[in-house]
Amino acid sequence: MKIKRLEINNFRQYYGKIVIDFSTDNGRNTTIIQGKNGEGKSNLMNSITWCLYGDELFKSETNIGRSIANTTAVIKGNYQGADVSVKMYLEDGGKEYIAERKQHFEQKSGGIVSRTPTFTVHEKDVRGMVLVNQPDWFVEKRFIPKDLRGFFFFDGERISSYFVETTANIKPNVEKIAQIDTIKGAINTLGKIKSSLWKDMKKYDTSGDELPIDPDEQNEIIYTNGEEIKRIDSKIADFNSKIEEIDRYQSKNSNETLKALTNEREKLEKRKTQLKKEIEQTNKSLSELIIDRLPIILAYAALTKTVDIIDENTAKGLLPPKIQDTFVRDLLEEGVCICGRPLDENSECRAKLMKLVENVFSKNTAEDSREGRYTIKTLLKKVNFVPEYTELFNSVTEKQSEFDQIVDELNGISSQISAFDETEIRNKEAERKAHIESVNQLNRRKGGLEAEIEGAREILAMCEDEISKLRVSEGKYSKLKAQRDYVCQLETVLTKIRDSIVEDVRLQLETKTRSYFYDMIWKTGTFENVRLIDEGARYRFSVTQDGQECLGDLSSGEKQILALAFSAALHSVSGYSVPVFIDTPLGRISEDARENVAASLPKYLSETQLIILPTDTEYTPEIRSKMSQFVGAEYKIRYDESKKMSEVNNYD
Amino acid sequence: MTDRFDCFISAEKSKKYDALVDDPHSIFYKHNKSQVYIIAAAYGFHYNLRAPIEGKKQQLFVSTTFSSDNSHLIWILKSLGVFVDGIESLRNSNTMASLCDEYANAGIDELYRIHKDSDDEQRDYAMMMIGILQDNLIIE
Repeated sequence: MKIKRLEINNFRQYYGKIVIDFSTDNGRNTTIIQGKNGEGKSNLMNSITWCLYGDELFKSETNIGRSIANTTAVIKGNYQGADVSVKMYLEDGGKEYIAERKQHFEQKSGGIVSRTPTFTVHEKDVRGMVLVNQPDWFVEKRFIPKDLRGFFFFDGERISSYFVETTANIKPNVEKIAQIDTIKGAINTLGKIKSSLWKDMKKYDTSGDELPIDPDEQNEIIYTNGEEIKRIDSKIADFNSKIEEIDRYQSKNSNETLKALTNEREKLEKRKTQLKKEIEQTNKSLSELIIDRLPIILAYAALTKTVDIIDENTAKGLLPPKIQDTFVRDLLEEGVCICGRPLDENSECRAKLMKLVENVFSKNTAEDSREGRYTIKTLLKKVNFVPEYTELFNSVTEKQSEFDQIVDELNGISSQISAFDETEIRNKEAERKAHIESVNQLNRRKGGLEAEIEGAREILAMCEDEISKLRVSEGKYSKLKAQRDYVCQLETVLTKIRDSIVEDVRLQLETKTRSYFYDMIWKTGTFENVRLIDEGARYRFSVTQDGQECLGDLSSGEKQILALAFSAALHSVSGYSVPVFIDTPLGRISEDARENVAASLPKYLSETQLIILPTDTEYTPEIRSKMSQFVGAEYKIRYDESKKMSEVNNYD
Repeated sequence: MTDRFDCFISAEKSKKYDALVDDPHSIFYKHNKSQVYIIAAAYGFHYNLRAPIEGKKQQLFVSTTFSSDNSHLIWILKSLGVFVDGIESLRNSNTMASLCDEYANAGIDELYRIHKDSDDEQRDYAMMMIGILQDNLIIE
């Protein structure tokens, strides 16, 4: 899917009709739209997300609380108002589409009011432009699913939130990235068939007991809670983004005391995160220590007695044996004693040797005892775990105490900011507090939902046990059971395939990100490894230097390169044939690395329509020259201060 | 030198092993079930709890599958056999393994109960361990 043309009408600072034709040339896949900060680059991307999804992806300080309508257009329209519309001309494999969202705004005495927006998609065919039934479905399936759009609309200025929010969403969405919806659907269907077969089987059960649990209900809990968790994750990401927005506002504020407090808060938040990790790590070490020593202590009496018994038998000369059992066995087999006496059946000598062979310890047992004595002695040396335990326990307690103190200090800073004279600052702080509380509430809700899922899974496992105990009354039961077993097997196989594809996607993402990062980063050989670690619920980036984790210590420029490398990798792995938008791609990257990045990105995204929105300071003549071979269209955004409006013109 | 022996659990109780190693809130989260078995057997031994496996048995592990790093754990099981049946137990590893199965079969119920009931498994196990060390006069 490519965007041929974009028509923006009265959206934010774009007054009247603005038309941009994008490059759809495979050889020159890149369109440049240059603009200074605040001239309308982000709002241009917002116009696209508003058109396709009905909301804006990038919320800036100036946009919050304001309508999307261009105020001049609404005022000039008097009581007739004005239409805001964004129209996208799309092409996909020879087919053409037009997606358009339109909303009417009017000025009333209380301010600007709006009507409900309309969204349509038309497809061009022999009859002309035909309306597509379910336009939202079209966007979700043919363009970019809403949950994934953050990966395709990339803002270089918001790099600090990228690794916190955006990458946290990868794992929940990896099934979409891998495009394995069909397998997922099949697994769900098999689950339903299983439940239905179980109910049929129950009809042939003669036990007369009522089934205590309905598996459908449990499956429903797992599904609905899973969906709710996805919605919660998305809300948490939204709140975190708002919190970050407020932090940016406060740190840029002219009030020196506020700046100092915000900086202090940032430092404390970092330390808090670090401490949280350290507490988790130390707690893990405590658990490991307990699991290592628990069996030794529980078996202490047996271990000490075993050493005593081995020592006793050694003292008695039974261990190691004075005579080897194999030697005696050989004599018995040959039927002649070492002294020459025959060892006939029923002879007294043979009976004596037989008894000896029964009592003498085998060579293996003797060696085993020797090895065991040494092993047990080593185990017993570790029995007093208390000093190590105390050290780790104290460490956790100290860290926890520092953590609690930081939480208090953070609350103190928040109170100080809340008491500022300026209403705006107080309001923002109150908003921030409310957002944090919302995040905490959502996390608690999420924890509850996860526990319910866990419980439902346990109950389902018990259901399986119940099924195996059902008593059979008729032959038909076996047929049903065979069918159900087959469905279970299919479900297991499909689940394994799904997991394997998801893991494959993770691996590809990791490999490509690492490769692109190493290509673009200017510090060759500095970073040993770049990994995308599966932490169960989410993926986490890890960058190591000298064996140490250093993601948190990367400069903004290095982080931006990592994020660009990941975006390019994601695009390549996902197989989505959709455009990628990158706003302010080089803003935080140092001068010497910019040319490298500028020349590499279009190469990595060679199969992709790439729309780059650089600032004038990023898109220097040197960078322009480096990129020229990839660029098919170039524009400049110009903001007219007197008219308070932006327009988009050809570059030259 | 160790003879091969197989350790079994009750098929009915395999869910308890799953719960202990799969639940992120369990102290045994992401550990091997064989480790849990050894702790369950040691627990059963210490508190003198033995329960023959009734119903369907399920093989959990084979002694030879322990890596050299973990081979010392086998001696915890063997010592239970030596304590009960004397040094003779080393000659007959199958009898020793059956004894361990019985201890583990009773012990796993207790480990699962602790997991379900405890607010802080780490603290509860540590207190239990300290108590045993005090009983044995290893610490005051």
